Amino acid sequence: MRILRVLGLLALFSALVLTACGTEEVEVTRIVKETVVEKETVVVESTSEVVKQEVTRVVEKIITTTPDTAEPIRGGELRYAVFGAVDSLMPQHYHAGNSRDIFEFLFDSLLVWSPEGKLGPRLADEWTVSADATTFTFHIRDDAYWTDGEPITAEDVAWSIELMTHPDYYGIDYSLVAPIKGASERKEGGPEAAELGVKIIDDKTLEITTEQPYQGLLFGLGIELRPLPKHVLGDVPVGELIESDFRWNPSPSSGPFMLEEFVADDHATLVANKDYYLGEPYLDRLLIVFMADEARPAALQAQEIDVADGVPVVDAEELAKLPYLELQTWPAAHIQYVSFNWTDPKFTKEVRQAFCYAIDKGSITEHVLSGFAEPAAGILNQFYPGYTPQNDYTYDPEKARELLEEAGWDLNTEVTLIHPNYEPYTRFVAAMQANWQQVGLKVSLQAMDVAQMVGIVRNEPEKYDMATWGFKNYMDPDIYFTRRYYTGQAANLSLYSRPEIDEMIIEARHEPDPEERQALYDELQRIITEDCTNCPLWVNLEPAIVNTRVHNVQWRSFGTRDDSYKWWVEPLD
Amino acid sequence: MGQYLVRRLLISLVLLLGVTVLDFFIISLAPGDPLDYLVGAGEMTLTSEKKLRERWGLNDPLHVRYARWFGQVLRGNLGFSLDTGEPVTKRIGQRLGPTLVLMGSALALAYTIAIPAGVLSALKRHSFFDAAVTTFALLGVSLPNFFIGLLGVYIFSLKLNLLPTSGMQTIGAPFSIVDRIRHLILPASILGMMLVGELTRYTRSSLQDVLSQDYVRTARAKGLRERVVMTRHALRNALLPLITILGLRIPWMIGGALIVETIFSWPGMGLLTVQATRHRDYSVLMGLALVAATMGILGNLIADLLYSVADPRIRIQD
Repeated sequence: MRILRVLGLLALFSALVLTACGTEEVEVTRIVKETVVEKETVVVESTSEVVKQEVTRVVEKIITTTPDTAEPIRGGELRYAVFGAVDSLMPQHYHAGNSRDIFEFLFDSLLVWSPEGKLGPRLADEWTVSADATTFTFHIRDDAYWTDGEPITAEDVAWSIELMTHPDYYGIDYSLVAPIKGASERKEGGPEAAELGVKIIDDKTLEITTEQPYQGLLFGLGIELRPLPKHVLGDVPVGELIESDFRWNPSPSSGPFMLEEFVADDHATLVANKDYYLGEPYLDRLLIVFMADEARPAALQAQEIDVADGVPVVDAEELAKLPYLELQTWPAAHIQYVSFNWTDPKFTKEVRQAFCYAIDKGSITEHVLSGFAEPAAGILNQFYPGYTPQNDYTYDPEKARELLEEAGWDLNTEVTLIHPNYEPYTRFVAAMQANWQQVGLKVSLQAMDVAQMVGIVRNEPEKYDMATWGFKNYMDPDIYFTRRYYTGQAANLSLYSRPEIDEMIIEARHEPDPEERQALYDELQRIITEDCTNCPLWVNLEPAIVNTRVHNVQWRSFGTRDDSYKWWVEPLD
Repeated sequence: MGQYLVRRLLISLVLLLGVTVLDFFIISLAPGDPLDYLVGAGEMTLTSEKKLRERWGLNDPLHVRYARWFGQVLRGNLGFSLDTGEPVTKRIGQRLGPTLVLMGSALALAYTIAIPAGVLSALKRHSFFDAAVTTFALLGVSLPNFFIGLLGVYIFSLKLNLLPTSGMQTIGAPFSIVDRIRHLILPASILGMMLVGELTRYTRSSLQDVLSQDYVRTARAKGLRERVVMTRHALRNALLPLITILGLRIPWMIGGALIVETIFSWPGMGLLTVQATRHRDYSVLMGLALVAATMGILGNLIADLLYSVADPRIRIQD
């Protein structure tokens, strides 16, 4: 399945090239399996006759389509499968990650992350960053309106930010506004405690000042903050927002679609916002269907839904053979690791590296994961900004044995690897165990659910040797380094702690010059990869199945839904 | 009878209390709590976590948390789901309807098929019909339901295009009874199949047993028509065990069927239970425990009462 890996890279490369050429349409890469009948010349053993035989072979053809030049058809509906708990339709005021599956269609952010890997405009059409990276100015586009006809103003944005610095705001997005001047004081002491570094310059322009230089603000607040309408919610006390009617009836909204109906755990019906500033969406309706992963393959095959990710790899390959379905693969935001308990003295650097060198990542990704993963080469996800190639710990059992000897590792030691009790972990951990066995390491496997794994790491570290799981990457490397490698952070699940690394993380966060900042992240990657507190495994290439009647849906690691106003469908007959 | 009922109800309440206490402590024994789950999912920071821990009262000792929950229940409030923030009653309520429809249909289907099949089978013992029914019953009990479920979807939805693959209704379409029934057929049949096997065998052996009793011989000797012997004497006694089973199946109805719900994406109690467990949603889990315990106790009580109504030999003496 190297073809699929090439495919993934081809898709990315083509997307980069073609979008750089200024085309509007989104490119789609397809695998088409064709049955080819060939005439083969065969020598029949028994009679030494030469016979012509017909042989049927299935040939894989990779079609990298030129941009979709078909004329978009207006109207129709798209059925899109999701699953999970949705606890709110109001941006910023939620906990369950799946809530974003719906409200990201309803509310726009200031900026977006475009397919070619840069920041692009959305609600904000212009933005500037001061040379010292402490002052950020955003201009809201003049033609942006709420669905009730009121203009979207700088007031709306400022107020949405202010809300999150209030002590009564307990949503999970506070980190988006935490760097702003005065934010932490207000979070502790209330609005009177300090002046917030958000200034309204005019109706459509606002200026944000951060406490310290912070390039990451654009990637955090810029891409993720979705302003709420002050003229409707302004009088509601912050603590009561989560109980307000708006939470399940989010109107007015700002995005390409509006909510028509939401039935919990069943479906959400979204209708097009005809006055959307980027153009009226082609679709009439977007139906978001809540469907367990297991039910999706059958539903896709019966054409009861049009678009779904989360399809098991085996099913994805089968479904792609159908003429009316196509497979898209996209790099996951998560990078998979084996984590070592940093506080456990038996795991010295040589030992961790040895464990890492002993894993045959190439073979596992190709055979166990059917090519739906690409070996990682460093602790950052190689498809994400900020990444620079590091030691990729290519399979080297000899080196592993050497390192173990150097370290004086007692081969009779038994260690335990805890892992999630679902696919694909259950499949590849056995392969890893076999790899380790080959170099003489004794590893036993224990399956459990994620909450239990985290519970052990945080509350019973004496029971924690090694774990395998995935860590999500973000647009700004700072978020990832802080959450996963800073001492004491809740999600620092390898319990990594080095004061010099902590210092470097803070330094990089506040470095105003983008190039200097990247240099610091390069250094961080180098050191942490070498420390091997987390052994990088691979990045999953997630399959998504899209019905061929659907156009302009391009699954990406980030920002798939940003193009929703361009999605269109051919009518179902 | 009145005294008996009152006594039973009092015992039930004590039982209920005991079950909830036990459930609460067992649930809290599971390593990891809802915030650990969110941390694992990568969406938590220390500050948010501290705030949520406070808000959700997770820092308090177990008995305080139980007392708080119990106090709320007495006031009719089951608390709020830690997962979605909705009231637990609402979340469970949303799932209860679909579950009852599914399980109720399966139960009704099973009884409708099992009783005639079992009766005929017992009457025509060792006939081809009997052999066929017994084999089918055995298959129903032995074949794993996910296998039958997927087979059903494959044949009826994908190959024959007769039935939808999953869900309760066609999304986006206006409400229609026919549509709902079409979506119900496969999952209810599969669940029903397991039950049919069990019930058929019960009916058959129960009737066989009764037919060999003395009073049946007496009834025939008295000159009663065979039909009367059957209905008034034999069947009435033979079907008694089925009443008990019905009562005991009531908690089963509420619990839902996880595998069938997953395959058919049926938004029922089974899926809710698994989701709540994974996310360590204590509020919902306790709500579910309460509902399950109540239904279990009620089911038993109803079974006992029905039995005493049907069988004069065990009328309750005051």
